[in-house]
Amino acid sequence: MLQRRRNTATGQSVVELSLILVLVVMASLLMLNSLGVNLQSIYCRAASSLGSSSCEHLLSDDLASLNGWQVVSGTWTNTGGRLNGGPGEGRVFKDLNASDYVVTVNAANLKQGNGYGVFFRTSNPTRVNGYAFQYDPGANGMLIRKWVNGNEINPPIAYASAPNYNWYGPDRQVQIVAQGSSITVKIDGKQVLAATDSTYSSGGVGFRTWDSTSTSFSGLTVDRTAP
Amino acid sequence: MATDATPPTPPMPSMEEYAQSLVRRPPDPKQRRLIWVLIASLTVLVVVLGLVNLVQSNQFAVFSGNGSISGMIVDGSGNPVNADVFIERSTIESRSDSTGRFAISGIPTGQQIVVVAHNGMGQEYPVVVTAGGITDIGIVRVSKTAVPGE
Repeated sequence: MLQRRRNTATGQSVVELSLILVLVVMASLLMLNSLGVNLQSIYCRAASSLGSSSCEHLLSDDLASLNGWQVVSGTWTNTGGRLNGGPGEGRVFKDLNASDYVVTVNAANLKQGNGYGVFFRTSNPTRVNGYAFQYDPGANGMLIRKWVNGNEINPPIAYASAPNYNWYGPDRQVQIVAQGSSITVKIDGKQVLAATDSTYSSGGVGFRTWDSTSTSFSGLTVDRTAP
Repeated sequence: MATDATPPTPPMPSMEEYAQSLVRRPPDPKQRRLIWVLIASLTVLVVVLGLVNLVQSNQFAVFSGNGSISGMIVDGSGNPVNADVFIERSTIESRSDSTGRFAISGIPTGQQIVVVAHNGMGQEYPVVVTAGGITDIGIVRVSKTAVPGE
């Protein structure tokens, strides 16, 4: 009888401890989720602080081929180790399951035409939802535009007029930082645009051409934003 | 006379005998009460955090009912056009008819953004949808150009 009571008492304490453990784990996960903290991001920060390179890039592509890219429209070719786009309305996408990141195009070159776009946080390429940065002499400036079900939303969420900019010829480094609802764009290391929008929180990347654009890109990386 | 002989070792108890000889104190009722208070507190915390996550995920609107929106879409000359109408961040969509009119029902209540799109260009219209109500966004003129300021 005494033995049975003892066993019961011991069993209950295991149940209690298990309950506490489960509740603490659930509370922690819900807390992190409500604060928008990505567990993979935490893991990668911890791993990189320990010298691991497993989380170095979310995406790294020299753009010498279209492997892994979804061409939705337009003319896209690879020559000289670069991705060439245009003329006409063209869109090409690469899927990515990530939210806060920095897109860097090491060399983006506009040879002619009204401009090019760099998509980010996109989903559903054939009817794209997401954002695009536009290097846009046709609009006489640079802009960040939202896309809804394959339609570009007007007015853009950010626009910077650049009437005397040297649009054609030199390779430009384009860097887009999307962190939470904040979006910033740098050209050759200098910030040119900033916007706030929370419509889309994650998704892939891509490029766009339109009208008589002839453009080329090389060296694309996508990295996690700094903590 | 001294002898080097060591005293005989007492026989080792079996594991069962050893276990039975251990003093097992019954759980302290105070400690047990504290544990259950902790469990209750954690349960309340999990429920509250679950509700916070539900509200943040927009799924909460499912419980607060649906409403409708209506309007009319025209071109730059005021002529009715067939255009697409979307509710942003949802799969709800419709299309205006030959008179330019549209009506969409089953939209979750609260702040919503209506997108009117024509020829690949769209414009956003923030609306507040009320349960069982019809929100009329009026006459909407479609955008002709994607160039800002034109």
